[in-house]
Amino acid sequence: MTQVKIENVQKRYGNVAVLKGVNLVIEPGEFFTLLGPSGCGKTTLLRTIAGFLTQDAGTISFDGECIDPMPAHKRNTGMVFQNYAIFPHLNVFDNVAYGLRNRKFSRQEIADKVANVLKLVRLEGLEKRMPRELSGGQQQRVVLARAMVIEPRVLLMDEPLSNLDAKLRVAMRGDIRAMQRKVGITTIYVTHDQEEALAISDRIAVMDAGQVQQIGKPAEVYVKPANQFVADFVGSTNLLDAKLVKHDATAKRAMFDVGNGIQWQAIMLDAPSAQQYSLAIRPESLTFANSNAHNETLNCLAGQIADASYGGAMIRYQIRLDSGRIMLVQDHNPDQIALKQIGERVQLVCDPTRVLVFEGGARGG
Amino acid sequence: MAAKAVPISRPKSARLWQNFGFWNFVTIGAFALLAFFLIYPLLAVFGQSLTSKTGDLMEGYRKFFSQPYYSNSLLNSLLVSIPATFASMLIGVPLAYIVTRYSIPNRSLIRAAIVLTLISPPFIGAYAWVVMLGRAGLVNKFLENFGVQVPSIYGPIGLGFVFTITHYPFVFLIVSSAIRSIDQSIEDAARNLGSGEIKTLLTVIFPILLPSITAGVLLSFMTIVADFGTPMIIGERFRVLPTHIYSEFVNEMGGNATMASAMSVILIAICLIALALQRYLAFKTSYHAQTVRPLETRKPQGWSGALMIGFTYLVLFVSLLPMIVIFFSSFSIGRGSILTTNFGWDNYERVLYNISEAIMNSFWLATMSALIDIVLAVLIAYVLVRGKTRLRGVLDSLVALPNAIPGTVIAVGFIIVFNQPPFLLTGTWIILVVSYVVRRLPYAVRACVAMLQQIDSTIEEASVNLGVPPLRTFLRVVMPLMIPAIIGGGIMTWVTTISELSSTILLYYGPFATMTVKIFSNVITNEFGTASALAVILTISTFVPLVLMYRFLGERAEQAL
Repeated sequence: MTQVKIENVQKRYGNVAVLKGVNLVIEPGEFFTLLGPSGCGKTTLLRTIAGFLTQDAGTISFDGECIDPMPAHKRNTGMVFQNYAIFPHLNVFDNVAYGLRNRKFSRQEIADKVANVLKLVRLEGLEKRMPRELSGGQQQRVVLARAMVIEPRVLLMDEPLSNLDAKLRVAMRGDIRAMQRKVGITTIYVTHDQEEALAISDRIAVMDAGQVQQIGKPAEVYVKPANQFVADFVGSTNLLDAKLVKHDATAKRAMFDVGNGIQWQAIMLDAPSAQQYSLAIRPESLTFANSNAHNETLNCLAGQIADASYGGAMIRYQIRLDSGRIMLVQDHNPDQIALKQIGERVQLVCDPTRVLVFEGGARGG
Repeated sequence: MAAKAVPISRPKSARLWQNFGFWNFVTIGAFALLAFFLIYPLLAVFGQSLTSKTGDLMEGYRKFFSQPYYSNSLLNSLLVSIPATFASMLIGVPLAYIVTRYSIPNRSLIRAAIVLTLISPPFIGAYAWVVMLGRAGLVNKFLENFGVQVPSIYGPIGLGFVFTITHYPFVFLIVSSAIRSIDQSIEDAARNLGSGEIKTLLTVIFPILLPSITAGVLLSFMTIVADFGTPMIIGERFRVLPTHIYSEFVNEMGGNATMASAMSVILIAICLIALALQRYLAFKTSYHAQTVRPLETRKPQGWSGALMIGFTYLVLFVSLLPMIVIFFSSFSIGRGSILTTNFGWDNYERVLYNISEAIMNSFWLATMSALIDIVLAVLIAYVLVRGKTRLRGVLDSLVALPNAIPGTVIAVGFIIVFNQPPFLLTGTWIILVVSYVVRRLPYAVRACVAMLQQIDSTIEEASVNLGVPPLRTFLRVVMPLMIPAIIGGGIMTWVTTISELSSTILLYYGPFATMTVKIFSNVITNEFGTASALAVILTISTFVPLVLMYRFLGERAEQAL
């Protein structure tokens, strides 16, 4: 098991800075995910670790050994590509054995290792099949086996599931995670799918514009996003512009004005340093107030249902506030008999402990 | 951001390898090769065109444009080539549309036959028409019995006709592959938006095909204007640039090397303009569309259907007629240009007895050239597709250049440059191989480039990632995947080399005469029986590999053309 250390890695393409000094420490055996929108630099970072790209500055080391001077074929990383990159002219066995043949193993050792890894990815019996005779999921397993069989120091995965259909994607990610636990290999996984990242990772680095925005366990990233970008990218979120009214340092609570004299309360540990804030509220943190007793003025917003999309166990509403802003609400245990109708007036409430506070106005309106 | 940037330093050996790796050697080698064997001879031709006794650099060109003896050749070239190109478009485009879109009976046979006409050397077709419509021509003789005088095949009209019938396949192939890359949804969309069948054809399909039509037309123009064998056989006193260059160059009595070179430069200029135009248009107007569902095949119906079938079979008949005629005449026992209905193996016996050496020469020269070409092509194609050097664009144009250089001109340049030590190559077989390699390099490179572009570069990265160094990755992953292009490009190079005449005729030396040279000299000396027998042997030698290629590669074979 290998520790991967990335120190101040920078990369430019012409005038565009793709990586603006990335620092990460990935622990031995960890399943670590680089999550971010396209163009955030996550794939560039992965390809730099593999040695296909050379950083302009900074160092990458495996277990304290700097690997920068090493060419790609000496780094002993196992990479799984987005488009599989299966060798189309070789059958399953030869695809998997490819990397072993370049290392000094006997025929028997190669046969044993390939057999073992094919069992691990549940492809026994398909050794003689050609890639074109395999389904997408099977091809994905072949390249996974091919990458793992050489016992690489690090497994690198570049959006490996994005070419699979939705159901298979969920099944495969479970398989990948199970295999990774079994083998205990340090894994760096790149994806733009936040749900996938949350489901599969030990830790996540959320990236945007060439910089790491937050590193943390899935729950930390979701519950305590470091900034508006993370709050918005990981899961969905409602953002409200808010003016600080007062801060109670002993109760660690702050009172905000979100417009039209409506007051919202939230947890705020540090002393305020600004006037303008934005409040982020997860759609599942909002609940409908009991309409018979709507005398609440705290953490309460009034509006009407603009749209509803029914999802069985859960229902998503869009609510147009009186201020015109749209709020998303996820009701995870809806009253199936009395679903809210479009146009119905509602009041939304939120527990102060579930309101996130960020400095500065809300991005993107 | 705040931390100080530490520049990456690599060990010296790694840096050296990176800065000056194998592929840089390939790039430099390719440049050196093309500079020495293509640019240098061409510059020598240009230099020679500027020589004069009076010291007036422009004397040759002044003479060319002021004396009709010379300038008429240019006029003749253009007067025949332009209408013939236009005519080959008028046949090639409709034929491509009909054969690709309509279920004409025996479609794949028709395609194969057209490819075969493309491959067979045009001068053999020209010679066959002489057998039919020449002075002692079969058709003329036959019609004379009824008192009908048929116009002679010799001269500009006959030349234009033969050019058309031997060059429309260029247009046909390029346009039909473009038609096959149009998606049915495009036509459906046009129809759905309310345009009728004819209107869709004119306003949607035709404009999409326009770049390919232009490319095909320019390509066939370049080969027509550069063709040497056809005008030599049926042009007679109607001289065009390539034949005039040849006669001016080989004529030791009244020949004028300056004039031969000046005419060469003018011929190159014409071809280069066509090539530049083609590359510019190809670059500017290529539609990269994903074809999910090719255009539907329709049934030819009613009068228009009958017309289409009639047209197709007529063109096919006229294209194949020369081969049939040559086949029969090769078995005809007679003297000189008189063909009889006495059939036997005499001509073949004479060929195998007297000129078997020419057959051997053709085979090993073509094989050697094709092997060298395909090795070079694989390497150059890799640099062109995957390389990072800025010189890529230059190399790309340089590799395409031989397409625009007529064989006659290359030969003239080679003779000027390689006629003295230290590079004395004239009178050896090496000069033939070198000229073949340079002239056919574009075919082989194009086939390999097309193939490489379809191989995802992540496949190579996967191999490198698994611990196989880049160069070994090239051998173990890229090369096996390129086998179709290697076979297709190799066969195309071989086939077009073995039927080469225009540079061979100037560069060969007695013991290294090839089949084409022998066919040509036998035609000129009216030994029709021997010429036909050799032509049949040559034709079979080109057909067999092509048929094998189609068997092996299927539809992909046409990519190599």
